[in-house]
Amino acid sequence: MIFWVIMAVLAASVSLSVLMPLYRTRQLGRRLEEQEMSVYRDQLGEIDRDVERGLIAPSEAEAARNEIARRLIKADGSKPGSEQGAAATPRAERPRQVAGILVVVVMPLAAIGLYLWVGSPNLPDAPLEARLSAPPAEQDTAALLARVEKHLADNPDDAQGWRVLAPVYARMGRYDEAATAYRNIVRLLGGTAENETALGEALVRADGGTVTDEAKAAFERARALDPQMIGPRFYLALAKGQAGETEDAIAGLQKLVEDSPADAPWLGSVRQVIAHLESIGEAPRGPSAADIEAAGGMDGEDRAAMIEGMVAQLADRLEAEPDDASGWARLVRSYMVLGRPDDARAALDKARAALAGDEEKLARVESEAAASGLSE
Amino acid sequence: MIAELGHFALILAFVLAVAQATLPFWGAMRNDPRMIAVAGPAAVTQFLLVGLAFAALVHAYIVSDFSLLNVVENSHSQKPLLFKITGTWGNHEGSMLLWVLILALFGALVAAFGRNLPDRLKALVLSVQAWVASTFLLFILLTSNPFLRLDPAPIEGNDLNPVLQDIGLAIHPPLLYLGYVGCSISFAFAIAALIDGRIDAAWARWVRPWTLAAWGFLTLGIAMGSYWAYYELGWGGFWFWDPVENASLMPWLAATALLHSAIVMEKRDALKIWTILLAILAFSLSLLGTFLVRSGVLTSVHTFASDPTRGIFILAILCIFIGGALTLFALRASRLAPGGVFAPISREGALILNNLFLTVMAAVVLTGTLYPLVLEALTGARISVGAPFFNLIFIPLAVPLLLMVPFGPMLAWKRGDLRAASERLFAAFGAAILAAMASAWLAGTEHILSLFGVALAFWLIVGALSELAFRIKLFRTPPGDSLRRLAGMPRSAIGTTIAHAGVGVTVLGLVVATTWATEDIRSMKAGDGVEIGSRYVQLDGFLQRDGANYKETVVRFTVYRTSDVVAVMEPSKRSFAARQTTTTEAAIATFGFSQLYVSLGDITADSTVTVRIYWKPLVTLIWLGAVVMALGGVLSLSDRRLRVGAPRPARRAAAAPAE
Repeated sequence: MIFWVIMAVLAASVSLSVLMPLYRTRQLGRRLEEQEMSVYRDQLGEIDRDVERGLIAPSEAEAARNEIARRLIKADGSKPGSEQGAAATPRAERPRQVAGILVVVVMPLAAIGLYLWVGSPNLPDAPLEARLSAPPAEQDTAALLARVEKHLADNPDDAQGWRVLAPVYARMGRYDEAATAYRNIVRLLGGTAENETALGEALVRADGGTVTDEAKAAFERARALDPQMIGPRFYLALAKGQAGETEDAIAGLQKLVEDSPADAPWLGSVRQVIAHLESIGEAPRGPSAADIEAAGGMDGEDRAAMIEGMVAQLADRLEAEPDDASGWARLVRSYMVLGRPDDARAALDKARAALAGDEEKLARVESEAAASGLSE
Repeated sequence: MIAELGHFALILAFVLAVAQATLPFWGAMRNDPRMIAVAGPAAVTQFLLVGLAFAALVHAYIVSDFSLLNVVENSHSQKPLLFKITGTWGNHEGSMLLWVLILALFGALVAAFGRNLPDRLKALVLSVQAWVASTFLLFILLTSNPFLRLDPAPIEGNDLNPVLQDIGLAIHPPLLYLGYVGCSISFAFAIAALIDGRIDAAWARWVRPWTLAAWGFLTLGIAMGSYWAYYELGWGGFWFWDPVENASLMPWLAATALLHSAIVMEKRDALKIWTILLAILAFSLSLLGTFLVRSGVLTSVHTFASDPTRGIFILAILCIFIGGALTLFALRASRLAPGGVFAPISREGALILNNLFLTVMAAVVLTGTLYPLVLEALTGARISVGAPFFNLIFIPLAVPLLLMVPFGPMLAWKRGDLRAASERLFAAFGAAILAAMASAWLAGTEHILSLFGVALAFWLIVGALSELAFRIKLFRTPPGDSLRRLAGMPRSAIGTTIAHAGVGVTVLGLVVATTWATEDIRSMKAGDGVEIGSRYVQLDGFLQRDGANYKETVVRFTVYRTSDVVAVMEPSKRSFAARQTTTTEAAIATFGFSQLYVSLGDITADSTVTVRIYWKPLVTLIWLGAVVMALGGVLSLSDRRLRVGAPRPARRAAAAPAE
């Protein structure tokens, strides 16, 4: 309410500041020509002072006086009629009334209208200090979090604070900060199996699922403290999988499944990972990760040459082991991508010959060929 | 509530500006003294309103009110208080608000101090001012509103660009804006004269102080910007012919020309049309500068956000004001009485030559700045026009102008005696030759052109002082008499002397610092040392420090001169967490007018750091010269005298009624 009152007062005083000169009854100052003439009178005085100081010779001063006097007479003679008289006539009152209405009605209304359009009258100020010191019940999570952060910036050795903060960060998806919090917990409370595991998990999440060296070290410390703990065993197996030691990884995970009770909640995800790892093991050979990495660093021509080379390799391999439906499908698609439809058609024909008799496999190659845009 | 009140005050300011733009104008057309009288109070109220809005924004920055989008984007709660305040205009929206605030300030000053200004002229001037103000206020409200709110408010802001977290931000933009916007007053006077269809010597009398003030601020603003770039950007350069710098140099050249042509107009009642045109050009170039910097056409530290709507809006403002002013000029200029003819060898002849050179120089800068933009727009080719172009064209234009500077004040009005003027400049000529010989002896004759540059600098300084010496008859009358004459000298004449000498000081700094600077780049470890500028700089070690919102790695150097410690220098690399950026803070030690400049490159893990060390002889003179120039401006400004000047011969005065 007080806000609207202040706004109204502000708008009214602005109108008033324009209205006052418009309706002032007091006689206005000098006539306009008189003001101009006073400039010339000042100039005449200036000449006198210059003569006194000896800056100009008396003869020059005389000429200057004449010059100014001439301008003065000209200014006095050029009166375009007395405005002072005109101001009082009704003819002059009309525009002033229009102006008055503009100032009193249109100006404030326009201002308020514009304000309601672009402003946010219902939003109070939110100075940070006040937000942080408001009672907790009235604070949003962000403010509460900022408060704890501020406290910890001043007291970085408050383990309790870090323990409050760490899971909040993890829940908010701010894994980097969660990892920092767990690092501090480990630093202050010592590395228990739980703390180290939580640190490792935060690090893995922060890196988008990759078990980094630092995370691996944390899990290894946790496993040393508690060899039976599920978390470290799982992530360390995963690390092996990511390092390409697929069989070791699968073995580790299967051991984990065997050691777990039959109704353990984590079994589902462990089995899922095992299945995934197994599918990687079976995956048809293609360019290795190293090859792809190398391709990223090449220029366009080299990359094309490398791809051509890989396609040729695939074609050679299929000559030797023709019973590979997905291989044929890949070859057909590759030729299409490379813009060699004739070769693609030839490959499809070879596949038909090689896979004749196995309807299911042949269908896969046919559908792949159709999907890649190969028309008969 | 404070933020919303500020927002409302800004809107009221806009509405009032529209009223101020129309009512006094209407009144002036109808000769209605009451409507004319609206101008003054409206200008003052408008300043109060914009001031209220600005104060509200500053308040929001100080208390870190993150419910304002502008504060979130450009502030941080951990920032030191000074940078919270300066951060208010360290962004697009805030800087536009500062621009309008200064515009309103100038309007209020005209209203308050223009008491003996004819009411009608004052009303027209303030009305033109309000046209400018209302378009810019509309621009702010529609495209760059700093009072937009956020709900819910974030808990932390994005911080200010660390490069801008410097005391320079507190000084450079306000000074430069005072200069840019000050040009709007001369512009408003010019437009008022064109609308009115008459102009006289008294007009020049009113315009001069405003132009002088704007010119002084522009001079200081540019110098401050240059010094800031010098110490903050970390590679020891002070002028890069960057388009943004050119944008400020162009109005400066035009304002300098205007300053000189206004003298001719005031003294001789001549050069009226040209003066009007210069007043229009000076402000047009200021607007162009605003457009180049604010539209995102150029990218630099000055471009805070590029938004095509804003660019188009500013372009439209530019077209309306420049196009409108020039059209009005074309229509009405012929109605203004032309001035008399005068001899080429005379004070006014010299001033015209000065104007000619300055405008051509401004045109060169304009071409060099806009050509790449136009070329890119037309053909898509990206070229950069830099120092080689400007040095090739700008300097050959500047040198003859500077050579002529000492002659100007020595020549009499109407008909000067070049020979007598030259004789009076013998001392300056001798000093120039001596200075060149002395520097040849000190530094060798390897850089012949630079020796010439040193001579030019002394020619300017001693030439300016000789004029003063001549006027007070130094050594030709007893000292007491000279002193009395000095006291009797008009302050504007002393101002001229000082400003011209300031030009010489800047030239000396430029020539010496660019020619005889030495530079050393090397990687150093603790204990390593470098010999530079007859000093020995030794790296002592590294230390870590925490600032309010940054962490810095400081490298400590000790500077020895013949085994005495003369300075300890601590350049650093700061890393700001909020924006994840690092800045390099150079360390500067000043010895006399020369500086030792140390800046850091990469610091490697084994504590080796790449160090750039510069020895810049007399470099501070570049900026001190600008301060001296501005000082001359202030002195001249304090001279409230009316200039009458030597009148015309009686015969021509009698023929004058044709005016």
